[in-house]
Amino acid sequence: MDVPPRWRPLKIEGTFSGGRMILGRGADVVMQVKWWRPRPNRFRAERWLRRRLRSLKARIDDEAACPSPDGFDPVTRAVSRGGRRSKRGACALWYGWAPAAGVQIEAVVGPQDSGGRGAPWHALQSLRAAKMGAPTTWAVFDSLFHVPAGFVVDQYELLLGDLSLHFTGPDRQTLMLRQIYPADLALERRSMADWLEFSRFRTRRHFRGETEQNWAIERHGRRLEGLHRTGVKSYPFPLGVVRPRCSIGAAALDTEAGRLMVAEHDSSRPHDDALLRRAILAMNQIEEVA
Amino acid sequence: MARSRARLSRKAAMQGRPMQVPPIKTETRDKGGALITVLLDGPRWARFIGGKSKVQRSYGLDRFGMQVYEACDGKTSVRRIVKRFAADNGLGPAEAELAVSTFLKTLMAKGLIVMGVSKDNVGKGR
Repeated sequence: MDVPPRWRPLKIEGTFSGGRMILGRGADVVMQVKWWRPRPNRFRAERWLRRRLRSLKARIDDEAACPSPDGFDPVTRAVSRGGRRSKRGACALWYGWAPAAGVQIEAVVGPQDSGGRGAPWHALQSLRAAKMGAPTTWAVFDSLFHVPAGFVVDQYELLLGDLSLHFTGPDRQTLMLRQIYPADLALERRSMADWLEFSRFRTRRHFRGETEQNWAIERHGRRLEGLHRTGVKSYPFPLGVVRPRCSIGAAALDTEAGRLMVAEHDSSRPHDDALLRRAILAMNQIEEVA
Repeated sequence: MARSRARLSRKAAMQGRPMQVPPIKTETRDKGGALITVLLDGPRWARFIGGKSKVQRSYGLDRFGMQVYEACDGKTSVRRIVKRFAADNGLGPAEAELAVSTFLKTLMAKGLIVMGVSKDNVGKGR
């Protein structure tokens, strides 16, 4: 969704399957966007919408013209008002169902913009929903993460200067992507090996290193120096033999951007580092690196 | 009875002018950092059992912390500090605002700065 530069997310919660985001101008709430992914074979968007509006005591606004965004089903799109009454007046509701992505969106626009015009409505028209299983791009502040097909976000830890996203993929693979900045300050506090070791996400399996070596990747003709490690993640004794996971981690330092980029891939079978290499190369690129 | 806190809108907070509490010592560290020592009131419980009424506290700031701390001159508004911080460090406005405002809150809690706010803006909540 394209939003005006002055807007910012006041609250983001949830996961790939469902969640909500509150957007505001400064601290003033402008709109709330909820998303969830129902079971695609059982979900009938029109019936759901009818029930939803009835439960909210809302009515469909026939006069409100609102073009549907790309990939969204126009039949189930509606703009309604009333029902949800705040102290300042009625809020406007917006519903969109994207069949290819299997995602239902509900947006609540505040009374000040409920007229069907203005920035919130332009933002809603620019909504794009990633198709199920398609590669996705995650943008947090000025940082970009491109995730390969099949991986969905399940955890995140977004701290200023330390953004971490955790994804689960097919065959119980996991992928962790992280950007730490400013890199010089981060490396003063901890070595690159320690940054690779230290994860924001708690895990029951413990890492036992096998190899750790210097590593480098080429990006736009520049050589990014880093560190590469492989090993096994397993439960502590005596459960060490229960489903150990092969783990590959890599960190690369982009001195020009002042960022330390970290990626870690865990899977049941040994993998090469192609996925990590691609994920690190694609970080902060507007277009994903092929 | 609990004292009610004065409410401040975001706009009023952004117009606030933070000012340094005069430090008793500033030691410059390498790479732009510094160790700031200030004199603060001692905790009440310590004073009750006969402790010192004033205590020294030292806080280490890195170069980014010093950028913000040095901008707290009582004349520059928070909005201006945010803009300058974003421009100097190549950050987006939203990220810079969040970083600077969080850091200023920490500095105020530690007693390193005080915030000057126009009297007209106090009590105007959201």
